Amino acid sequence: MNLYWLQSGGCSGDTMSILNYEGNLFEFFSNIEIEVLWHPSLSTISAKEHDVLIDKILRDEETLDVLCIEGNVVCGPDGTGMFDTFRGRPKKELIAALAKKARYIVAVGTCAAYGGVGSYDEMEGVGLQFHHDKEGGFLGKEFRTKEKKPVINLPGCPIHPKALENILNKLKHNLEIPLTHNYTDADYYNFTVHQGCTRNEYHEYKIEEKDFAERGCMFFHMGCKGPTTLSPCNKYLWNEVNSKTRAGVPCFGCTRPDFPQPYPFFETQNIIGTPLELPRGVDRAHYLAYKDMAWAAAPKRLRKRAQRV
Amino acid sequence: MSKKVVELEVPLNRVEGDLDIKVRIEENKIVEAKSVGTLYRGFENILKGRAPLDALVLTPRVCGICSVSHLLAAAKALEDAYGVTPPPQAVRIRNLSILAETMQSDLRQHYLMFMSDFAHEYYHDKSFYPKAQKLYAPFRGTLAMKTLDATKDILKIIAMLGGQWPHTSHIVPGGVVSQVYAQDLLEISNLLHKTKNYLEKEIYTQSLEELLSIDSYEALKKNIAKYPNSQIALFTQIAKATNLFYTGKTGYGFISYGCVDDPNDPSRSFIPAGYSNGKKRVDFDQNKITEDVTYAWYRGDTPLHPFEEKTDVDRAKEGAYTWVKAVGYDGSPAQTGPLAEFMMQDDLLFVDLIDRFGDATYVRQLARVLRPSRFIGYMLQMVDEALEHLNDAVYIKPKALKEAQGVGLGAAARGALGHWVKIKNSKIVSYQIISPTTWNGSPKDAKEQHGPWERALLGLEIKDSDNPMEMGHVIRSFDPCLVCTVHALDNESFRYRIGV
Repeated sequence: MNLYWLQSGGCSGDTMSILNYEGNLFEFFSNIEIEVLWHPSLSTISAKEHDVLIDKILRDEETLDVLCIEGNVVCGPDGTGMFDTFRGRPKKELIAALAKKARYIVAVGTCAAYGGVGSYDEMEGVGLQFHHDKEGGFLGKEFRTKEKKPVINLPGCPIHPKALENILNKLKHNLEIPLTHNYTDADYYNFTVHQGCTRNEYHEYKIEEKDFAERGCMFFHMGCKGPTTLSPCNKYLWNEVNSKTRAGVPCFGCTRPDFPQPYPFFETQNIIGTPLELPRGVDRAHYLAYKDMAWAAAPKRLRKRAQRV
Repeated sequence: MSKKVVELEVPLNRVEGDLDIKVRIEENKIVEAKSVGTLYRGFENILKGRAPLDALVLTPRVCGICSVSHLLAAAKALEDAYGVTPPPQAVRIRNLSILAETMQSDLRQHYLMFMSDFAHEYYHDKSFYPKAQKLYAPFRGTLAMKTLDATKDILKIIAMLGGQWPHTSHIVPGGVVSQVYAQDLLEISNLLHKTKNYLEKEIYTQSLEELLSIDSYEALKKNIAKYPNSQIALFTQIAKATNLFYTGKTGYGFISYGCVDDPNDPSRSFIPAGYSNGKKRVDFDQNKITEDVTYAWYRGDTPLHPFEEKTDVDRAKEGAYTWVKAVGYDGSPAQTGPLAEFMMQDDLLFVDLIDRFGDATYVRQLARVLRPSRFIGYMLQMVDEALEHLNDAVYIKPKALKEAQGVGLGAAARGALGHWVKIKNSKIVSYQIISPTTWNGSPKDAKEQHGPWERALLGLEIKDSDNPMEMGHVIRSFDPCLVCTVHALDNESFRYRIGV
């Protein structure tokens, strides 16, 4: 199985992140026999050799198994795409051309999946098959790869290395990838960030932080999106050791289609002291009653913030 | 008789982001060079109108490889605006975070991105080739593999302090978001000792103590003779065989905003801020930083300070070739990065090397090779001090002003990084970022002075214009980070002369 990695409107953060894969990424590639045709941060072939490679793929002389795209598709200014060029042409043209040739396409990170950073601005960044939560994006709603699959979305800012490992392994082993309505892998993303957070006990009893460096839950005041964001950050830890919410940094909802939200981070949008956005499927009246009772039942050790997080 | 002239435009990879270098080659020598970033993300505009604290989430996303550096600069800019000084224990945690990020960046840049060129078939007839193949070949070189593992351990330090790397936001105006406990600091200490072992056994093949005693080129040569298997020895051997002692010179001065803040007085840093012309070092004053738009697609005639900075686009401007503004210190281009930091410390080895070889490719890259040996010491010191102050405060709540402006200066792996923020009605109204690559990759200024890496290319001999390997070595010795040059873009439609 071969792989071509393309970087477009992004920060290289997804590449930096996958290098942290808990096995050794290079060993993993070799173990499952992935041949990396091109990766902009790692390959050493010359610009000319790279041109030849692209030509071969476009002329169907070389099969392209997996096309990984990191970063959004830059359409600015005014739809021209000239804010991101390759050989003096908009890079989006190369993306469109390669997309037709790939057996599978993987959107690596939130920018490639949904637009992400620069999707609300003059950069006019869009995701490969979504713009925020709206299906379509750059390649269009009807687009399918050579294997008749939509673009597989692996959101996250950055992507967690395990998300990529998991997908490449599934493709290699011809396993069916169950896709959600956002075309993410339903196995992998079927966790909230909240699950496994070490602040859970504070959350249960509504003992909430109002400022940094406190002990408590960050959902009611600090803008934490852990309960409303689908990502296994507290199941598969970051750099094998931790997560933002465990460390006291609110979840910014970076796997969500609306990331980076157009309203402030670090504060929760409230209605009379309760978050505007509640965990999925929760009834507001019941939730309010449950939270008040929980707060009344809170043990002293939590009220005194004696418990570590 | 007509001269043999080649015009090349080479997209250069193994740098962070997209970089095109346009050169004109006459009789195998580069006579004109233009460096062009090809991606514009408009970060300064993304930040406009947002809540000031949002800079802590958005600016790390400027760059996946120096996200903590941007986070720290953003927090410092807001601290400057709000008039708050972080407590010492917070500064220790910040220092550990930023030093970890820079150290892993140096190691990955050199062993995964810089040295892999020497494993390219281009060098198949060189004596170093088999060894370079074994150690640095992409995806399989043995040292590349080991370095990947070692850098993952270093990054665990940031994850332990801030949750994850890249892209966390644990540094906030007034300090950091969490107290750190003894068991975490001890684990960090374990990771640092593991890193030290990797450096001593795999990289330098000697004790750091012995390495730190090298104080001249003569001493370096003796050290190489004594430890012929060290990475310093191998890099030096390869550099000699590929002419890196003589290429890549700019003759420009060095700039640093300082690195490793003093916990007890964060306005000072252990590696001092300063400007050096290579011989004499002077105190640094951020008011002397200016941006010049002579060759950039903006209107304006006088160089302006980042606070005065206007972004008035003029795409039809005659002679302009880039969206990067030429940044200068006191009217001169300057280079930044690990070599600049050594110069700020009056390091005897590097002062001697500059004296003998100038700021050649070899000297610039050697600074990156040696920097981890210095940083590990600072990190161990920070852990020890932090263990002595376990119960100290890590956060002081600042009073967020509705109207304010501030400067956040610091060091990313690639050198001096500055953020300039203006706040009105509790919203960001202006945000300027000058990244290290803006310094090193500047275009020409009003005085026709090339930016550092453009200058470094002039006169460079190119053997094979289909694979201008020599150019890659020179440019990569600056460790370019194009995703960081937030307003870099080439909007010209150009001819691409090779590969078509």
